[in-house]
Amino acid sequence: MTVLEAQSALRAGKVSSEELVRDSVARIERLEPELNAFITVTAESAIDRAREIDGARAGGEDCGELAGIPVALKDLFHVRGVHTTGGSKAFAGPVADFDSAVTEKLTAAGAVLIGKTGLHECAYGITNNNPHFGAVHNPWDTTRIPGGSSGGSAAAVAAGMVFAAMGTDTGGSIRIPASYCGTVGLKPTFGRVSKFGVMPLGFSLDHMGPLTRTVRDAALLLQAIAGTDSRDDTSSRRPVEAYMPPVDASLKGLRIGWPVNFFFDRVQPDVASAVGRAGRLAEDSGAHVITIQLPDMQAMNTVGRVILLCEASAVLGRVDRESLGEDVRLLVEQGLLLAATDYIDAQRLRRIMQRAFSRIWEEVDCFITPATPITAPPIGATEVEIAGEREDVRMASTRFARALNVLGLPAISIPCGLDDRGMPIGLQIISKAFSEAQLLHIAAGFEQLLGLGELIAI
Amino acid sequence: MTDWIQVGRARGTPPEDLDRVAAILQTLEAAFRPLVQQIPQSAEPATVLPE
Repeated sequence: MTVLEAQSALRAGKVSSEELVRDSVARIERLEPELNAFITVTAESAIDRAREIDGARAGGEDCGELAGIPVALKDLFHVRGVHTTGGSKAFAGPVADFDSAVTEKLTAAGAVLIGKTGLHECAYGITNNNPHFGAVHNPWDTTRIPGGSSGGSAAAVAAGMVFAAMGTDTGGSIRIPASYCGTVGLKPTFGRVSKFGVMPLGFSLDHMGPLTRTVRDAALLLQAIAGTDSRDDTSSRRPVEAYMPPVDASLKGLRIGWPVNFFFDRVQPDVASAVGRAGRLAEDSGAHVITIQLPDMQAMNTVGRVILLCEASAVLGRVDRESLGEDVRLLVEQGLLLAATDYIDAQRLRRIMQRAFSRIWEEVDCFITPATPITAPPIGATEVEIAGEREDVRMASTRFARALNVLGLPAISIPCGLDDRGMPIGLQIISKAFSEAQLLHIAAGFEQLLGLGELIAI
Repeated sequence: MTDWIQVGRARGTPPEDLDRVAAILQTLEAAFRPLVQQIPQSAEPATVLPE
């Protein structure tokens, strides 16, 4: 069942929120030993909240667009009264005494918060092989990673433990797990969703967004969480649009970019083939598929790495490094050695690149790429072979995602097929800043053409 | 190019991490420095919001 289907069933009185929450808790209890998707499950408070909402609904109250729907939050979002671990033992402090802006907005929309999902330590990595809380497993094949760093959120949605979950994306951390777990994952434009009350990693690169089973569910969630927030200095004051695409969203007449450089270099063959099929389907449905030459994306990835190393080490440089896992500790050490001038030069390059990239939107409405060049690798693998070349798993997984954080552009990953092992393949769609309504419309159009609907791994 | 081992020693990088940290930064620097050479003198850092 999708969020929209659950919303409809609740409004029609076919099911109660308490029933949905109890089903969700039962599924978590059954699957958690295999998946390890959660760090904290707040079953009791969720059931209490569901009863409150059921009571209010029975009394004729309008409880919000997400009223009674169980959702989860990555364990970076503060929830009053619940510990925020950040997936690390380095933050063994007291429980949060305030809600993040996203928590507030979800609660105001009536969502029932059912728990906090597992992540790569400090959201600083993509495997979710967490040294403190254990590896999160991919529901499609539990010997494989879910991707990260929002891997617990993606696994929970893919396995039907929750209807939707929130993630964060600093270098692909929503889109990579969405791609590896066969869910929808939306990274809105930088500044569209408040970062207030979320543990930071890269101040100028962090984005908050939903992971769901369908594009329309992602639109509903974005509608609930988008908006300006004076407590986040980077929050945009642009008005929020209506995001929900129509049921029969069409691609007819839209200009869809097909990059001839970078995004199809060193790609797993069945990933390239699935994305190619999506492009052909779009063209057959009346879209104009236009080949485009993008600016130097590899250079943007390099700039993104320098910015992230510096910003993350500013955040994590003072924590007891002995308490960090090895991979995160090494990244923090790297960032501590870079010079202030390196950071400033990276930000100067970023500005030049943002300007160069903005010309693309004169040619196309969006462009499509694989979300990741590979499907989910095995847990513990440090390298993968792609087209005969060995590549570091982290570098390969972030290769097509990181530059969009540098640019701050909205991007979404939707399922577009399965590889020869039955693992999901993600299609990434990117559009111009603050064009989420158009992006979601296009994504819904692709979702319909691809005919994959709502994928459930287990 | 920067001698990252020396920088790491001076900045207190744990000795057991020095070689790995230096190797990664050396590769990153090899990709980053040519980009920096292209920055016009008047270029300013990015604002955080997309334009």
